[in-house]
Amino acid sequence: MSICSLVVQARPENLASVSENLSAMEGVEIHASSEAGKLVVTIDHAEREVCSQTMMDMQNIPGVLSSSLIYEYFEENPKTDPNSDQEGD
Amino acid sequence: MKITRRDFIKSQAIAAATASAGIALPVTIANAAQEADKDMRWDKTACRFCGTGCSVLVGVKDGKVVATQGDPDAPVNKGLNCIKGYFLTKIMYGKDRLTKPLLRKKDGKYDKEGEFAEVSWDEAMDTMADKWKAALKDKGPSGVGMFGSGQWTIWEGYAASKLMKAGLRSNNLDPNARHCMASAVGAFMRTFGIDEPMGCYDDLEHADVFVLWGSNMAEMHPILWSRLADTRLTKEGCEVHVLSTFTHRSFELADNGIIFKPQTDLAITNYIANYIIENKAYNKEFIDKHVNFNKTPTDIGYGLRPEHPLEKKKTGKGGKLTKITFDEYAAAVKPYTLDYTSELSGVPKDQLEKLAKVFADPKKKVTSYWTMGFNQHTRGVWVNSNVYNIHLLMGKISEPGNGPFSLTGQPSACGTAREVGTFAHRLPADLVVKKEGHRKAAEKIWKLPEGTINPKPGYHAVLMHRKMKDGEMNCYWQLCNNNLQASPNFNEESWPGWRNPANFVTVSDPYPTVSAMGADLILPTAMWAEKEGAYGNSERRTQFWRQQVKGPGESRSDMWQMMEFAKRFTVEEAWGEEQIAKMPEVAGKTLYDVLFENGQVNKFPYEEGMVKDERGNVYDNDESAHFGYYAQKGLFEEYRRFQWEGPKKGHEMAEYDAYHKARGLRWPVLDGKETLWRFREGYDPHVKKFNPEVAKGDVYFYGKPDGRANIIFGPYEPPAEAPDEEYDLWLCTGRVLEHWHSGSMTRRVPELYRAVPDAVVYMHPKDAKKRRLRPGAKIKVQTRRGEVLSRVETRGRNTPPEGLVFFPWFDAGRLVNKLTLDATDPLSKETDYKKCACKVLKA
Repeated sequence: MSICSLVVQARPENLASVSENLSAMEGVEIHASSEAGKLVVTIDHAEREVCSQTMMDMQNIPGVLSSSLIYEYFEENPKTDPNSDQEGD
Repeated sequence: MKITRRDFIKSQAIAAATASAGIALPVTIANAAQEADKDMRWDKTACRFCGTGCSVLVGVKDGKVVATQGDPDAPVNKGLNCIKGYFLTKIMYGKDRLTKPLLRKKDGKYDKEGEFAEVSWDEAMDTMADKWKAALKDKGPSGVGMFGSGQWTIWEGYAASKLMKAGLRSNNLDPNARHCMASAVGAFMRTFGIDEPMGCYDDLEHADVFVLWGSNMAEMHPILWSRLADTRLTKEGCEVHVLSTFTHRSFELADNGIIFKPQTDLAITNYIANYIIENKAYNKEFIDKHVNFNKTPTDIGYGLRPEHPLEKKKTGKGGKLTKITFDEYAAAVKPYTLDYTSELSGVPKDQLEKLAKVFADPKKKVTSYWTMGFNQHTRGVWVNSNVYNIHLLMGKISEPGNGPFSLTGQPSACGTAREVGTFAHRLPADLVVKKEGHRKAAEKIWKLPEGTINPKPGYHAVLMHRKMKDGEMNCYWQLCNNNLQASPNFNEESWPGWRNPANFVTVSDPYPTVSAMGADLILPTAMWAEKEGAYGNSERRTQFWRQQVKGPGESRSDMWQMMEFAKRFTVEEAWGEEQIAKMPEVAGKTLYDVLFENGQVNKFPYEEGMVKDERGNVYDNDESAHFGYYAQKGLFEEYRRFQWEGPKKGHEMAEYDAYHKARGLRWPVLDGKETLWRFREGYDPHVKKFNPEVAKGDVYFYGKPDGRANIIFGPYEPPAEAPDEEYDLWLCTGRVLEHWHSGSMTRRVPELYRAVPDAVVYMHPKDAKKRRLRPGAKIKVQTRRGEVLSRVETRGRNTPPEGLVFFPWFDAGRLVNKLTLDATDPLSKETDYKKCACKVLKA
């Protein structure tokens, strides 16, 4: 299980196009944004590699000035199905 | 609706991000976020990567780091991390982590041409000690050397300084920071008489104008960049000027993006000084009261071997300053007119004027930043000073938003490499070996017989390799860096030095790096959060962390390794009878006894379970458990005596325990309070101590005896090597965002490796076309020293101008240092990795 959250700083005038580009990415959700061009984004994907690739690709979206990682969780081989609430860990 | 564990974790991720972005959060998410934490132990650490010094919370579960979060309480990063932070949880868990000492052996014994075989720590250290003793006997203290790191913890650097300079009486200790910011140190000492920036990161919110001189902050210091971007986007009239020899990510935010020809930064800085003087914009009162004008010897060579033709040609030497008048300084910068500078640098006139005007405008607060573009420069000390000249002419210094700021690339280049004296000429707290008073102070604190410390500076980084090649330095211990990959001129200097049959090379590292593979003995290192540690960042902030997890297998921290190594030498072997006669009670003792069980380092008792956080969580401290006392605390508290009792004031730090509570403190820390802007009354309490008559809010540069900073004229002089008909391109090397430095850690993370697997050569499309190279084409890059195969890239994030190629140096498979020239700044001894001549051919 690999989950991380980021704050993406877009040029304020590019907020809409950046949001659109972000939403189209696999495993990416936008949770909030501000007029100053900040977006709160999570990447949630079973494949850790997809997460990190996505994170790097975000930096190359036109209008993105910076992206900052806020929270990162990684667990190899969860003991049970990560979508279940019956986990023993 | 069922709430899963994944939902809890995700809620926590969202909660943290919204808080950092300053956006309000729905209550349901906030509540769920708390749930995710219950089986994880969270604690603060300092990031392992760059010199920014972000505080990172790490979540440990079942003895493993599984989560990280940007520390919301940290003033540096305010809850943010850069992309490299994503890999912090993984750098300790690379599949090829070293867990046992490895010694080259043939037929069961050490052999330089043998294969690596696992050995015990005892066999490893005994073999090494035998070699070191033989070298000491044969060549004296200059026969051995240690190459340390700006990634060492503070106490590791301090222990190294003590082991080499007090124990083995050798000043052959130099850090990889020599390649990184030795030029910055040189200029700080010459200009201000005391090391490190006067300002702090708070300037990122206070400045009206930011000028980046040879710094790609967007990729190299992303968190500082995000703070700068915030200010640029929200502050009316804020401007960003970026100077470089090629276009990079930082240009995306630039209001004035300047591409200049390599080395002409010397001319541009003098042009700005000239502009300020010709327009009478300078702050006369400030320079009358606070500044001395000086010139420095010119035509001083390029730090190459003395027999090199360029060294034979030089007419000047060294850096002894001569006082001049303001008028003489004005006359010296006068030739740097707009026309001349534009012609020389290739920068359009309007761009140069735009830059000069922001400095000359007394109402605009300007903060300058620079990194390797200035420091890795054969005139690095000069060009650093040239920027100080501009700030000093205007009095734009030592106050919020106004100041020159040298950024560092390593997490503790300041805290360790610079502050504890791991340079070949230095001792802790800004003291130097060549001053008798400084040596005496160190000998007193270290309880050594008088005359123990060698007054002659040792070999610097590049000189060590030359001395190894020449067979004059026979033992070399490299810790916490990757110098065989990082050092210039691999083919002609470093590699022949390492593999010289007369030499024994030890490398301590967590991973099998290029250096480890080139060594004779590899010692497995416990890294970062596997030990209790402390770093000092670019803004003088000292930060501590506790040991979070255990190192794998038999890995041991560098501090443990150095202290254990000291046990293998008697004072008789290391000091000789003459020294012992001055202090007979040490006879028969080991270096470990006199250096570490000296009643100071071993002063604080340790028992299991005593390292606790405010929440009651208990942490290991493996080294203290091994030695039987709180070793990190003992070393730090002894080091503090240099700051508080030594002859140079201004470096004071707080007590050990205070740092486990604070999110770092910026020195000098007096009466428990940190100092944000040095040298100005009202911010820095030292000012009044040194100058009781100081006016309210005025400055006093107390690093110099007369309280005045030096403006030092450094002219434009050509680089050591420039393109010609045969080698027709500039070669510039440097870092990329995804890989930190030589990639020893980041290249262990598979997905990072996949993102930027191999170093490509960035080239202008016209240059590629001229050579009939399609993007992606296989190429050979050649210099007078060697050749490397790579591929050409004409698009992407780095776009060089015609005539220059950029070739990153993180790639162990494409060693760019087979190409580079070992030309150094003769003053700072730092290599110029940014300028040599190459040609590019189809492979």
